Parts: sequence; structure tokens; C-alpha cells
Amino acid sequence: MDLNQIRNDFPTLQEEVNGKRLAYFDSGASALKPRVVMDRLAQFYEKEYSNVHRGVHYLSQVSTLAFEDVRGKVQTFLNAAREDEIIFTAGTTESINLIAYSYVLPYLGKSDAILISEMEHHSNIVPWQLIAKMNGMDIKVVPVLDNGALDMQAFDNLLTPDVKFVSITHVSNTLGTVNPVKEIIEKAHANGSKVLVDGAQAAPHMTVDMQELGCDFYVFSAHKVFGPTGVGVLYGKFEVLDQVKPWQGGGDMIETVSFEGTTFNVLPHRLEAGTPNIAGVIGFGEALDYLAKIDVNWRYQHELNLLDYAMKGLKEFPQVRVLGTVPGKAAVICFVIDGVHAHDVGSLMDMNGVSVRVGHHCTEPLMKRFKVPATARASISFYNNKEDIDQWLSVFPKIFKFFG
Amino acid sequence: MESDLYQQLIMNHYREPHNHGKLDPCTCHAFGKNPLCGDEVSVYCIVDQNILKTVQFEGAGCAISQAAASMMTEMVSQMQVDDLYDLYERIDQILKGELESGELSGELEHAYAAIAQFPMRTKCARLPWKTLVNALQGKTENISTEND
Repeated sequence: MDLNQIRNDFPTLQEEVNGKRLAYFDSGASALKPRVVMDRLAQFYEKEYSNVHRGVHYLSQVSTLAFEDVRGKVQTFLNAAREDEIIFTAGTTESINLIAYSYVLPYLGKSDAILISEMEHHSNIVPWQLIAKMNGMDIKVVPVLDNGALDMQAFDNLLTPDVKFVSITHVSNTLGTVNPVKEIIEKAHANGSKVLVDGAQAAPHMTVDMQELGCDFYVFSAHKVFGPTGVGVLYGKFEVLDQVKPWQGGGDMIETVSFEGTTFNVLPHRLEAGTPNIAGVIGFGEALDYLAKIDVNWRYQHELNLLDYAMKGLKEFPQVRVLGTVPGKAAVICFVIDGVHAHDVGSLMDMNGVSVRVGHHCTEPLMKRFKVPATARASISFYNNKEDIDQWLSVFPKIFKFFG
Repeated sequence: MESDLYQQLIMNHYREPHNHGKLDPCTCHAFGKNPLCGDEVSVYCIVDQNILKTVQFEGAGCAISQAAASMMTEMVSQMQVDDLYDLYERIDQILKGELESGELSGELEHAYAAIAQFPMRTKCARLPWKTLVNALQGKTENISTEND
């Protein structure tokens, strides 16, 4: 693959930041978009735009076909068994909330528990806390080891018969840890528990195969997979997804409506009330087409090579501590510098054209566990290159000098 | 570069803060915290006949929040409370980049103008000021500049 050509596909990478070339290391928060995605959005709005479903006029047919075509692309991307296992939502957060309110809340009660982990994003903690207040279920938390790995011994012990649901991240957005989700799913199923996997940080980087994993639900966001914002995916294994209660009521999700009673549409429409994010979904389809042209194994290996190169470079700087060092981790570097606040690190990086994220990364329990108030995070994507890493590394001596 | 000079001044205040430490007894105090970034500042004042006789602070957080607190204590010392409210407005204008370089007086105001170059960080510099004003007005609950 020609990395320079790939970089040319992303207009934002050609921008300067504070007079410096841009080294973008915030793809974990949101990925940059290839030009084809923006072009597709413009073309759709200019030439094909209309609302989807139930239209008989030309434009409504074109837009409906384009929209529904993306469902098939997502099915292929996830290797899902059926197209109607793909539900479009507003993002990972909405996908999790949908399952929390329309599956876990109605089916679990006081004598039940759900199992999550200490490395979850707030979006995979707070929805469960909110519904636990309503149905009285217990929330159990699998701890994280010092190297950032999930404590599987503890997982085994916590997976008791009362645990009816397990919700776990595939890849930690903070530590980069790649969890043994297949093992988790198998053990959970043997225990009679259903499993949701938060794939927000996995889907942009690696092969995610629903039939191979066997999870009940898998969720991710389009904007981290080089697509537009405001689109998410909820995958559900058909037999399980079919048990999910209606989420939002409205148009599209019904079969017939009367004041005596309403009957509901089939999947996937039953869980997609109202006008969806039509253009966003269509733009996401273009992003998936773009990704399909670049070998996923090449992409992931390239990211891991850059991670390795970056970690070797960091060895020059003993003042820098990296959180999450478990072998086989994804290309995320969460770091703290002794005596320098993460926000100051972020601003100095920014002055030198380097975009990193700072703060608690929506994983406050994890920050508490590692006893840091905030960290800086460099997340690597396939469009990054060695020059980006060199530019990032070159800021550290400036930070030490400034705060020395 | 001029802004480098003021960055150096900010760093000096961060490394060796002025008027640092708890004041006990004091006539009023307040605690400000930006929960998302974790910056914390406690401001203590001794006010006598409407004059800020002594203002001290303690806290933890990024360089900008702590230096801004230190610089603030320098600027407000011996000031009339009414004048302090005017200065509070003026600092806000400086941090919004609304004043030209020629309209600024003193190196501390220039230092605040240097912070204005980082719009995402001006909330850090405003935290001690908002905490001080709230202390004087007797409001001590949930002081933050993250949603301003």
C-alpha cells in the first residue's frame, strides 16, 4: 500500500495547525474523513435527496435504495448472518442505551446482575447505573490488572448464575487493551448470560466477525470508522434482537396504528423510529467502501509498527509513564509526565502541530484505579506515518525544558 | 517573541506561586473546581473596610490555572472591592481577546492576553477569578468555569 497516496485521500491531513504540519493522533476520539465520503454527501444532497421508505416518487426510491444498500455493506463489514440484524442508531452511546432500556431493563430484575469492567467508557457504565435504579439489578465490575489487562481470574469468579448480561469493551479506548472477547462470550453463554461488545475502538482497526465471535450484540460508531458523525450501528443476533422491545415509538417502526392498539413492524425497522440520519448512513457506506479497498491486516500491522516505533522512541524519556502495557495491545498510547498536568502537555503538543486528547477519556474509574487525575492520549490510525511519530516525540524535550 | 516572554512569566508564577497558602482566619473564602479537567483553586481573603487587604490561594491543577491564581493575587492586593469587580470584567475581556495590545497595562495583563491565544484553556485562567468573586459575594457552591 502507498501510504502517501492514502494520506492524500484525507484533506484534513494537508492542513497546517499553528503553522506546523499536522500530526493527528486523536482518531480514537474521531477519525478524519476521506474525501470520497464528503463527495458522496454532497452528491447525495444535490442529486438524490429525499426522505426514505414509503415514497413512490423517483427521488424517494433513489434515497431508499442508497440508504438500505448501506445495511448490506455493514452486514458484510461485520460478517453478520442477516441484513436485518443491523440497526442504525445515532452512535455507540445510543446503541448501548437502546439495549439497556429496551432489553436489559424489561427482562432483568432485583435478583439479577450484569457484569461490566473497570476499563469501560462512561457510555458502558452510566446507562446500566440508570436502569439499575429502576429494576434493582446489581452491577458487578471486573477489575483491571496493573499492565492494563482484564483480570480474567476475577471475571471467572464474578460470572455467577445471577449474571444475566455481560457488557464489555472489545478494545479499551484508554489503555489499548484488546480483551479476549471470544473467551468472554463463550464463558458467558455457558453461564446463560447474553453479551454486548462495545466495538467503538475495535471496528476502525481490526476484523470484527459476528459469526466468529458469536456475541449477542455488537455496537460501534460510524464517525470513528471514517464516516460522518451521528450514525451508529447496533448489531444483534436475530433471535436475541427480535426479543428487544420497541425503543422509540413513531413512524416507520409500526405496522398499523389505532387508538385500540398498535402493532409493530419487523426488524430492522421496529427499532428505527422516525426519519433516520439518511445522508450520514449513506456517507458511512462510502467510508466502508473506501476501507474495503485497503487490506485490514495491512492497516492493523501498520498501526502496530507505528506503536512499536513510538514506544521505542519514548524509552529516551524516563519521565514519561505509559498506562497500559499489555502485549498485543492496540495502537493507543496513554501517557503521563511527572510534574506536568495533562492539559499543559496537550497545549504544548498542539503548539507544535500535534493533536492529542487530554483528560480522563470518559474512563474516570480507570483514572482512579491508576491514580492519575488525567492523562494525554495519542491514538494511532492507518493514515499516520513515522514523521507524525517523530514530530510527537520531538515535543517531549520542549515540554521538559518548559517545565524543567 | 513577545508571547514567549509572557509564557515565561506564567511559568515563573506556576513554579513559584505568590501569596500561596491557606489564610486562617479570613473574612471569606471559596473553593472552585473544574470537574472535567480537575483544576482546583481555593481563594482566601481578608477584607477590611471594603478593601482587599490580603488574598491568598492554594490549589492543584494545570500550569495556567495555578499561575493565573498567583498572578490574580498580585493584581488585586489592596484593591477596593468595587474596583475588583471592574477588573474581573476586564480580565474576561482580555481572555476573550477583545483588547488590543496597546490597551493593556502591565506585564500581568499581557500574560493574560498570552493565555487568550489558547481559547480552550481560558477557562483555566478564569477559575481563580470566578472563585474570588464568588467568595466576596458569599456564594461558595459549585464554582466552575467549564460551562461559562
